[in-house]
Amino acid sequence: MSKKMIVLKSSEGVSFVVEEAVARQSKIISFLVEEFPDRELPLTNMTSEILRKTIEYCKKHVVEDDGGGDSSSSSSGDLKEWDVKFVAEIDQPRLMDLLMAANYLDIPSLLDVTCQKVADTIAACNDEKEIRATFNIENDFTEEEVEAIRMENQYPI
Amino acid sequence: MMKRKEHEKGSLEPIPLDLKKKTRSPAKSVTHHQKEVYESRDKKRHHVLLLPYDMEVETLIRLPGKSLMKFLCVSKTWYSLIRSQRFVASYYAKKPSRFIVAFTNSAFGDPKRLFILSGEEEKEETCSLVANLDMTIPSVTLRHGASEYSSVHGFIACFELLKFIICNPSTGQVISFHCKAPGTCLGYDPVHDQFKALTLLTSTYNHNPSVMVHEVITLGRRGGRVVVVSRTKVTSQPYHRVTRGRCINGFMYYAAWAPSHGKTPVIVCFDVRNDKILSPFITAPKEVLALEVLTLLIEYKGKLAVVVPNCLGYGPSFDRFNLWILEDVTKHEWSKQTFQLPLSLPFSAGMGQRMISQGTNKAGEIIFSPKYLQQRAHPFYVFYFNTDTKKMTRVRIHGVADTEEFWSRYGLTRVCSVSFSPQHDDSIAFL
Repeated sequence: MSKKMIVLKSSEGVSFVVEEAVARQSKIISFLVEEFPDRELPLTNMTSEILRKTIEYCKKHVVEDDGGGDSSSSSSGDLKEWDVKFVAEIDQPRLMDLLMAANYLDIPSLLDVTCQKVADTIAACNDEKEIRATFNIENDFTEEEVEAIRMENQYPI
Repeated sequence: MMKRKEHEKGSLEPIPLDLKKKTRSPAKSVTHHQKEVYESRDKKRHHVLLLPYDMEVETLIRLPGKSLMKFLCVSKTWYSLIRSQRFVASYYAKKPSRFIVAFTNSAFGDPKRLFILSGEEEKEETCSLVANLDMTIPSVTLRHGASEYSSVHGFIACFELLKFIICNPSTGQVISFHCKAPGTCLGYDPVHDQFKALTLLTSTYNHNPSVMVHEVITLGRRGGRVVVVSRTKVTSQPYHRVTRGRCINGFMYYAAWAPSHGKTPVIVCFDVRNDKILSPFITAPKEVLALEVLTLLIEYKGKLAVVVPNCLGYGPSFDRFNLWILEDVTKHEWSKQTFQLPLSLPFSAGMGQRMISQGTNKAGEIIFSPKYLQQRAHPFYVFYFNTDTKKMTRVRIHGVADTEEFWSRYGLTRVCSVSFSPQHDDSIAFL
C-alpha cells in the first residue's frame, strides 16, 4: 500500500510533496488535512529554504507505526545528537525563522530545540554588548540608565 | 547588516489567532505590557530580537536568573520584558524545582560566611545529584538549634541578631534591614504578591505576658530600591514560641505552647494578607511538640505537617516515624500515619549526627538530611523515603563541602551546621 502524500507550497510557490505522517507532526497541518483533504496547502509565509529545513526535521522525527518498533529508547539519544547538529549548522537569522516556523506550524519539539539553541547563544554571550552584536539589537539606553540598572542588582550588605 | 535586512522580508508574521490552537500561554488577551512591547517594536523593528512576545518569553525563560539580571541592560525592550510581572510569573511557574543547601561554619562562636547552594531536583530515580554554589553571605551563622531554611516564593531569609536578611539565590539579590527583635520570619501573600516579615517583640523571657506584640514589616519597591513600606503592630493572646515560622500558601505557621511553656501545644497562624494572627490558636496533639525545640514544621502536599521520629527519649537513632498532618485548619483536625523505615537513621540531640526532615520533593517523598557536617570533606547524603512503596533511596549531593579543597579554600573548621530544603522555585522577581 502506498503512503498517503500531501503537497506543501512555499511562499515562492515551490511545491514539496511530503508523506502525510511526516507533515502531521505539525498540529496545524494535521488539522488542515482533516478539514481540507486532497488540497495542497499554501504556506505563504514560509520560504522554500525554511520549509525544506522544517520538512528535513519532521522526516527525521516521524514515528513509523508500521509494526515492530521497540528501538525508540536507543534512538532517542541519537535523535538528540542529531537535533544538536541540526540547529548547530543553521546561522542566526535562519535559526530565528525556523523557530518562527516551528511556532507557526505548531511543532513543539522543533520549537523546543530552536528556542534552546537561541537561549544557549544568549547565555554564551559575555556581556550585553555581545548580545546586541549577535542579535542586531540597538542599545537604546544612556550610560546613566545602564548605571542605574547595574545599581539595582548590586546589594552591599 | 544588509543580509539580515534581505532576510527579514521572508520572515514569518505572527499566526492569526483563530488558526492557531494556543497551548503554551494561558493568557490569551494582549496585556498592557505586551501592547507596550508591540508598540515599541513597531516603531523600531530593527532594534529587537525579532521574535513575537511569546517566543521571546519561550527563549528567555530558559536562561538562568543570573544571566537575565546581567542582560537587563541589553535594551529597553529586554528590560521591560524581564521585569514584567507576566514574565516573572511565567518564569516562576515554568522552572523546575530545586533543592537548597545552606551551611556555615561555627554553629557557636563568631558568625561566619553562609554558603547557599542549589541543584535541580531529581527527574527520575537517581542516587546522585549536583549542587552548585549560588552565593555566600558574610557574617551570618546557622545557629545550633533553629537553623533550618525554607524557601518562601523563591526567597530565603536568615538573620544575624537584629539584622534580617532576605536573599534570592537565583539572581544573587540580597536585602537586609533592621528588626526590633531576633527571630524574624518571612511570609508571602500570593494574592497581592507581597512579602512581609513578622517579628515577635514580646520576649520569651517575659514570664506572664498578658498580650503578645508583633511587628509586621511590609516590603516593597520604591524607585529601584527595596524599602520597608510599613511597620505595623499586631497583637495576640499569650503564647511561648517553640519553632520558627513556616509559610504555606499565604499563612505563616509556628509551633508554640499556650498560654505558657508546657501548657497546651498549639500552632500559631499568621494570615500574611490580612496582617492578623488567627484566634483561637490551632490546637495540636501533644506529640507534635514532643521534640520541643527540635520540632520541625514541614509542608506536606500543601498542608502543614510534622515528622516525629520514634526516639522521643532522645535515643541515638530512629527507624519509625509518625507523620502528623494538619488536615483542617479551621476545625483543628490532624491525621497521623506511622511509617517504618527500611533502615535506622541517627538522631542525636546534641551536635552529633542527626537526620531531620525539612520537607518533601514534588513527588511527595519525605526527605531526611543531616543537620551537621561532621567530618572534613565527607560525602553528603540525603535519604528520600517513598510513603507508598516504603522504599528509601540514598542520594549523594555532590558539591556540599565534600572536598578538601573547599574546606581549605574557605577556611572551614570543625562542625558545620547544614540545612537541606527541597522545593525551592527559581524566581527572578525583584523584591
